Amino acid sequence: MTTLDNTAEQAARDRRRSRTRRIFGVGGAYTVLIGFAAVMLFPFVYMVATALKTPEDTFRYPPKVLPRAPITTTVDGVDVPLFSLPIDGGEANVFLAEEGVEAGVFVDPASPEDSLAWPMSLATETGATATLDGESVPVYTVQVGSEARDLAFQRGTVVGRFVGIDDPSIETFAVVRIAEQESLAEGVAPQWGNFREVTELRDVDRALTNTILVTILVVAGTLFTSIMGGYAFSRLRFKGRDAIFLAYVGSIMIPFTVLIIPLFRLMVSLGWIDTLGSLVWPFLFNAYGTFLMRQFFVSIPKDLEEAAVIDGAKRWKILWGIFVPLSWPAIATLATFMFLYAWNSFIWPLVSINGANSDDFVLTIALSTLGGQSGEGPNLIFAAIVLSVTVPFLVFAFAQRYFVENVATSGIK
Amino acid sequence: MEGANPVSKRWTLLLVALAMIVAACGDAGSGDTTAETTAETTGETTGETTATTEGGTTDSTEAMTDGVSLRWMTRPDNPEEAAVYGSISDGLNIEGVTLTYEPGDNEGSSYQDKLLTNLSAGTAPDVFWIPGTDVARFVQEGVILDLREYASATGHNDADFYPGPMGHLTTDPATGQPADKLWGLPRDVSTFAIYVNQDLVAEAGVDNPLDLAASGEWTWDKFKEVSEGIAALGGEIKGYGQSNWWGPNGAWINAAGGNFFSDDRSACALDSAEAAAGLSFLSELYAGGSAVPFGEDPEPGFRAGTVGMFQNGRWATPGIRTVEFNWDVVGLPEGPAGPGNWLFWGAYVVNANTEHPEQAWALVQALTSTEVQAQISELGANVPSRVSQDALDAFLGFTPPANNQAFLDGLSNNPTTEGPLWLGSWPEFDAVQGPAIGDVISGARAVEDFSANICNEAAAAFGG
Amino acid sequence: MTAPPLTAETRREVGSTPAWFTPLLVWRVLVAAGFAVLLTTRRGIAIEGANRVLVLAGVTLALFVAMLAGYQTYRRRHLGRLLGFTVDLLTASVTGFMALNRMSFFNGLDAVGERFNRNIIWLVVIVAGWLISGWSERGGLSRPRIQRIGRYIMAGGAAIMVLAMGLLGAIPGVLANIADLEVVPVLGVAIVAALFARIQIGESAARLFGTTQSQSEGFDGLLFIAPNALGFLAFFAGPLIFSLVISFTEWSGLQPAEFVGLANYRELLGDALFLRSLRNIVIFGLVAVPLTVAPALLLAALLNSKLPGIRVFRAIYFLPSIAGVVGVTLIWKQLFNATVGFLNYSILEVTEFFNGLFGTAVAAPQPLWISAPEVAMISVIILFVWQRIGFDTVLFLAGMQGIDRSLYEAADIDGAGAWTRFRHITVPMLRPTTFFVVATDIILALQTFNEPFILQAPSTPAGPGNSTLTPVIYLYQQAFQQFQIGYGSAVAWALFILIFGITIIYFRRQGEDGFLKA
Repeated sequence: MTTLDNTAEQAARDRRRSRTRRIFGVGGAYTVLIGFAAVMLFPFVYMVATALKTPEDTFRYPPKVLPRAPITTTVDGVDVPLFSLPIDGGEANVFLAEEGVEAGVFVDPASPEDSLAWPMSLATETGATATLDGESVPVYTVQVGSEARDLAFQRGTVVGRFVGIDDPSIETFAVVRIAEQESLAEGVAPQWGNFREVTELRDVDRALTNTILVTILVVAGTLFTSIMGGYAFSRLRFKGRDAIFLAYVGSIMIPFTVLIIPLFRLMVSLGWIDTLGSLVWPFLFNAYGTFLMRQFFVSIPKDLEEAAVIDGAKRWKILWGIFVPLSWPAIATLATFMFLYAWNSFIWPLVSINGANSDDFVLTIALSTLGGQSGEGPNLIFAAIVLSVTVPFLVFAFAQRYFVENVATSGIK
Repeated sequence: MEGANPVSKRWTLLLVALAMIVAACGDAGSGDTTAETTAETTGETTGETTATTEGGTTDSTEAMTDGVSLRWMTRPDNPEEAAVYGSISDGLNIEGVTLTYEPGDNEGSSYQDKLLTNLSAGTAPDVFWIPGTDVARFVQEGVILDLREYASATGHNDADFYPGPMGHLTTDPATGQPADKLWGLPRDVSTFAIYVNQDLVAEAGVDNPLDLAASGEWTWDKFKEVSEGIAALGGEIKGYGQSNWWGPNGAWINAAGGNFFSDDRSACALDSAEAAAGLSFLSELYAGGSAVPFGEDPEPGFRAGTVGMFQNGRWATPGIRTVEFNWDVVGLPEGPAGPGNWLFWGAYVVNANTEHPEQAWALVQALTSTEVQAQISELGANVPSRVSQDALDAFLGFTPPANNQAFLDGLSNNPTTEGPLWLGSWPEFDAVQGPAIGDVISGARAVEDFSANICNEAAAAFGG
Repeated sequence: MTAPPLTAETRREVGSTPAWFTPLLVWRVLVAAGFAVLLTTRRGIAIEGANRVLVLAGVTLALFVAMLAGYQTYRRRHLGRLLGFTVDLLTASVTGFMALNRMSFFNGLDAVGERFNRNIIWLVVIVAGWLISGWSERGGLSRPRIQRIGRYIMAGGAAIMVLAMGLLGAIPGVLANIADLEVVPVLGVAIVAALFARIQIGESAARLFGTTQSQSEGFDGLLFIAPNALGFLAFFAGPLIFSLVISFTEWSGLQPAEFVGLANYRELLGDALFLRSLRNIVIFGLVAVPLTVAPALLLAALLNSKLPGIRVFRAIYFLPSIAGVVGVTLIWKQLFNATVGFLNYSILEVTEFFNGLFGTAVAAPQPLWISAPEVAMISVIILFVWQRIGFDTVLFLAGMQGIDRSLYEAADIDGAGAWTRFRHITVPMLRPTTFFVVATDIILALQTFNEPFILQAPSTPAGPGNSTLTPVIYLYQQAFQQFQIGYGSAVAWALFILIFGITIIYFRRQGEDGFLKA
């Protein structure tokens, strides 16, 4: 308040200074924001890309983000992968004509970095020796194209014979594994079929629909019981209400961990183990939801309902006709929370859905089972992850208005 | 959600009614089948819990079969194997018995845990397979049936199977000593071998392990040389890899003449000089950098063609059959005390609560017959558990790998039989020694320190 | 409110005795007798072991309440109506539940799941209807009209889905189970109890028992809270007590439980693995929570400006927390792969880039993210922070938007810089939010299970050298792999005490002025 008597001059100076600071500030802010956004997004980009790869592509090194597959060409009516190998200073398009050619790794003793894998049939022993890493090794005359070089023999190996595609007289040799890594012509080739394949694998499609069903039931059921309970706690006075409410609030503190074992035994004695019911029925009653709805209902002005006649039958109508329409932000928050909870819960299904029968799998279980199998390529696992992530992303896109803006706030109060 | 205002509510109701009528006309047939499926599915999934009510709901199926129905379960390692077990189940003909095969989950999830869960829920099948290490636990919990009386009545001979597994299957849980009991019959056995990527061996120009084995030179030193030679190719190429569990570690300890426990499995023996020698070798191998870093799963690398040698059991064969390079198997390299090995096995056992023990025993016998074992060997994941030339011949014929004999050699190299600590707790022992050995191999702990302390650390597992 | 308040006496005179009153009295007697039979015969309570005591106590209480209800009903007191209704509601719920469970009603969801799978297309129709109902005016149709069309599509889709799934057709299938002789009496009791409960709700009952205005409100409260409270009792409070009881027993789940007193808890104190798991989780929490909260606060402060594109950033940050922990953990597992993973490759590339830039020869570290004991926990921390930052950011942002603008305006006039405003206005005003965020993160962190379990499954669920063993993983191993159910429960309660203690301490220190007020 002391600044009220600031002069106009000072104010102008402040504005100028704050403008420069602002430009730097905005630039810095965007750098930080974009940096974090990149970190947050990269795994998802990687997820989608990997889901579209071939199994071999997922294990390659150095890793590539985009899915790639070899470009093939037809030679004598057969599709062969296309390589582009250096030959006589240039590069030629070649294909692998023969594998397992006996060869040697030859090294220029003058520059040990320069090594060459070339067939033994094109090398003749000179009788001379050279010293390589302190060891004495024979020297060969190696015929490389038109050039003959004297090179030290380091060790045996095998190479492939590559022949020109356009010009069959072109012939060169290379270690197949390295050629495949470095010289194979590749194009971006998304494998859309992975998604179809994964849904056929271990009933992933059943897991997807099961998860949807479980989620719908849990969200709807929790909303119903929470709205009823929240209303009773906020508007109806009865003996022991506050004590019960305190118990509810206190129970929010209790980690689910404590309940896993007894709840499991309860499922055992009810005969619900290995059924979808075990994922739904126990989770329709949520203390947190009741608490949330109660807090919201308390903030609704009393006069709204006082206009209506208070008696048993009417209360039902007041609740659904007056309170619920006013409470969409809270209801949407609760729905979104419950959605995320039901969609992503892992430890409980892991415990209660444990049979051989994959008909009752939910996505989290299907995913962890898939992920535990080194047999399946990561590409299929990632395709399943894409399926499991898409639905929450869509729901989020539609519920964002409620969730991120109103809802986060009401969650705190 | 719908019907927030009264006018649209009425229209919505009308439309719903209309839709229902339309759909009901078009879908009359499926409505009927639903009722049936509901009854069936619920009957199946709740198993024994609804067994008492089944009389009312599934009368017709009961009447048709007119006999006992048995459910059995085993752990297939892949879908193909599950299919074979399914067809075996369909093909078995035990008088008056209807069989239902339930494929257990594969290795990726914990088959035994789920089985125990089902046992405690009362929904476990009549006959099920369990891994060899779990026999004691299941026997002590009283959930599997002593089959001796049925076996004696049907002329069964224990000597038809390898003695290692049979020893455990006839142990008295109270004393840990052999007794006149029979807990089950082994489904199959397996030993370790080394899967070799022949292309990488050729590319690296090192001696081929199979040639070395043939000429009797396949020793620890040569093994290390091959591993380092392959790793010298550089980049992501590694010479050797093994998975992180007690089996592969145990094989090296055995080859050095040591073991996890004393001969009668009543005390820890990891403090021996031999065990230390085995671990030292492993530790040096890993320190040399030619192996896939300890703890990283080497199987994807091996299948991707970046790992030269991969130690694993027969069960890895079906997965490796899909690779594109040339490969074969070779026995374990010889250490100071020979090649050493482990005999892995699992057994079919009978649920203590089965209502039809005689038929269940007949099923166990049928599932371990020469014919069935030959049939399963075809998949490549198992070695027959019956000491029967017919079954072994069948096994040898199922290639690749060409060198199937390597697995059988493992059986004759005096392997240690996988099994429980009858008077202690194998899981507890494993929980202590596993991380400790891991520390030694990865260099985080000195071998001397390990030898000096490990048996104290593990004393509780032996009831000490 | 409009009706003139009547005293209990006048009400009683106005209402003549309705026809249902005598049957109700008979029913009250029958119910009390039923509980007495349950209590006295062996067959009545077939449960053995620790539960038996609990059940016996429950039935005794029920018997007492039922007798009291009968007497008060006879006296036509409101208490009679209240207790009678409560007893009938409970009886109807419990017996109805038993009967339905016996009829496989609850397990019928499996069959529904199968049909749902085949008719999932109708769900798409419903969602499409929902989307349409949210459209604004278009194509000459007014907004209400579009809304109505959307609703019709939704309702039609839902109706067809129900029918296509054969849910109505399945009802006879479930009903057919009534033929089961053991179900009939139970179901009968449920129906009769429900009928009497309904009668006691009614207007005529209110008159007969002379219920006053406030008593009627209490009655309604009971009615509204019932669905929630019954479920809460059955699936939360009951199991909770049960859990505490079995933590004092040794129980494999296969053999009867054996009471061992505090032995499990004593054993815990000397259990190296449990202590290791505690150490792991405390270190994890101490590192992961600040690493989550601090950047989240920074990001929220940046987002709380009027910069364009804020909504996009906010949405992006939020994605990891909604994507589902199993999926993202598997993604990171692949990124963490030490030999072919992206993380190590990036480290290598970046190091080489700088080596090239400065002519140095620094060796790129290539940590074994998942399989080295000293690094494995760091991977879990990275995963936790990555997943949680966005959520916390949104919570902070919401908190910041609730701060009175005028405070900032005043500071602006004072010429306070961005940092000063942040330090002296935002941070203090955000204390309730910060409390909420930190407390939630602590509670979550201490219960970590999914990330380490999936990263390390299946070979070493506890991580290399037990380095990522958390109490919940230990609980899972004990209770579901080793079947030490009693011991596992003790682990759960020990963890609960830890969480509770930490939260209370934090609450005391931070929460008094913030959270409690809100």
